[in-house]
Amino acid sequence: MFVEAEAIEASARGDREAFGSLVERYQQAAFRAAYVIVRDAATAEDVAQDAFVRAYRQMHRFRAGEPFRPWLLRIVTNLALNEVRGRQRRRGLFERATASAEIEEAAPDAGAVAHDDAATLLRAMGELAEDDRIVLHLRYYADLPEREIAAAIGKPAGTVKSRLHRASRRLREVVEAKYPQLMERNDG
Amino acid sequence: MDDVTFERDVLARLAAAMAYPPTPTLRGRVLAAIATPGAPAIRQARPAARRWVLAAVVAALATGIALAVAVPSSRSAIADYFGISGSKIEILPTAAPGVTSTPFPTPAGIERYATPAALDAAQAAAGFPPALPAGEGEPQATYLVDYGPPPAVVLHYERFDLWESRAYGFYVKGVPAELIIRDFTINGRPATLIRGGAHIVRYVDASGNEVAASVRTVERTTLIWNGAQNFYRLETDLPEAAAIDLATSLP
Repeated sequence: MFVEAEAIEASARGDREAFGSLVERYQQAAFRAAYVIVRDAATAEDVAQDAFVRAYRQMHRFRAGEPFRPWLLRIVTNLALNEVRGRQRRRGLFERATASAEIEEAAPDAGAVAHDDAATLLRAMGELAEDDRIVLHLRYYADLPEREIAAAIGKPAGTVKSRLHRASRRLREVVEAKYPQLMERNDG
Repeated sequence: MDDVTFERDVLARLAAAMAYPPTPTLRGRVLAAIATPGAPAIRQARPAARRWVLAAVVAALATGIALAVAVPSSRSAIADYFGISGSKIEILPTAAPGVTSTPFPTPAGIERYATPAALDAAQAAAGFPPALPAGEGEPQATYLVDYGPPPAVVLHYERFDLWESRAYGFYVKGVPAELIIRDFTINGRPATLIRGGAHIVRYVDASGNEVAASVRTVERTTLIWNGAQNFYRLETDLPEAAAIDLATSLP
């Protein structure tokens, strides 16, 4: 039977098999959290793998008794955002170097986002500030409760609550202005 | 529609309806990464080398252009490869708790360190025909990087830069300990992948002299390997598996 606290303690002592059980338990959460940010399955897989490796090497910093998932998802989120930022920065460097026309951003996996509205909503979220996107991703896609989001981003629960409210309102404004069909389909 | 209704009927509902790709099985890959002899947790540079690398990074920042510290002055350093001729990897020391790590130089666009050239002109200058990766067609641009004769050729594609060289010097990579380093083979020859963050690279020529202008920060995944004749370096946004596939297509 899986006991998270025991697996964490053993992992911190260097027990790789114990860490493997944590990977199995949380690989879906890590992969999905990465995917909603990087929007590419193979890249999300690399990000999730890197996050686990980094988590293993930082297990000595993990505070006993704390839940593992938000701590892991914080690492995932940071790595995924770094990936996106790096991609954008490098694209900018090349554009300046060549003065070329716009380079298309890699399209998300066509088959991966089966529901058009869900994909549209994710696109709308992409127009929000990074802080807003993070809390919405963690709350609604990673399905973390507010207290775990607080642990994940290192902010007080009250800050998370207000940030979620603000982010949701801004998202609604984007949807109303640019993707009203999402609202209309839910009015009826 | 009010805020509560939006959160419940649009945001929460559509987020729950999100279709994800199948979750990959990561256990084996993760355990291999933390157990491989090439992983930073195990791969450690010698203490003297670690101090030298740190001093090199600090000096590069201080001068703004180059490293001013001593470098290995003989070809004996070249013998200290991790299996790949043309490349050497040093693990940078981890900053002590409470101490801010020394930042790397600001990443620069390729135009800062390379000269555009037509493909045939690059071939003439380098003295060998650059190999093109299978299925990628002609590069968007071709560059020459002349850190010492003969120059390296860089083939620029949208998602990667492919360096090809037959020079006699070698590249030294200063890699923070938290990055992933994997050693494996491509077409039976040694290869190393560096992923997960930025590292610093510099070129040491065949005489053991460091080329000041070569110091730069690499943010992308980097794959280095020996081909039958060329030394290759791939700097890419591609996922690991795609990068390895691409590398495997080269002679």
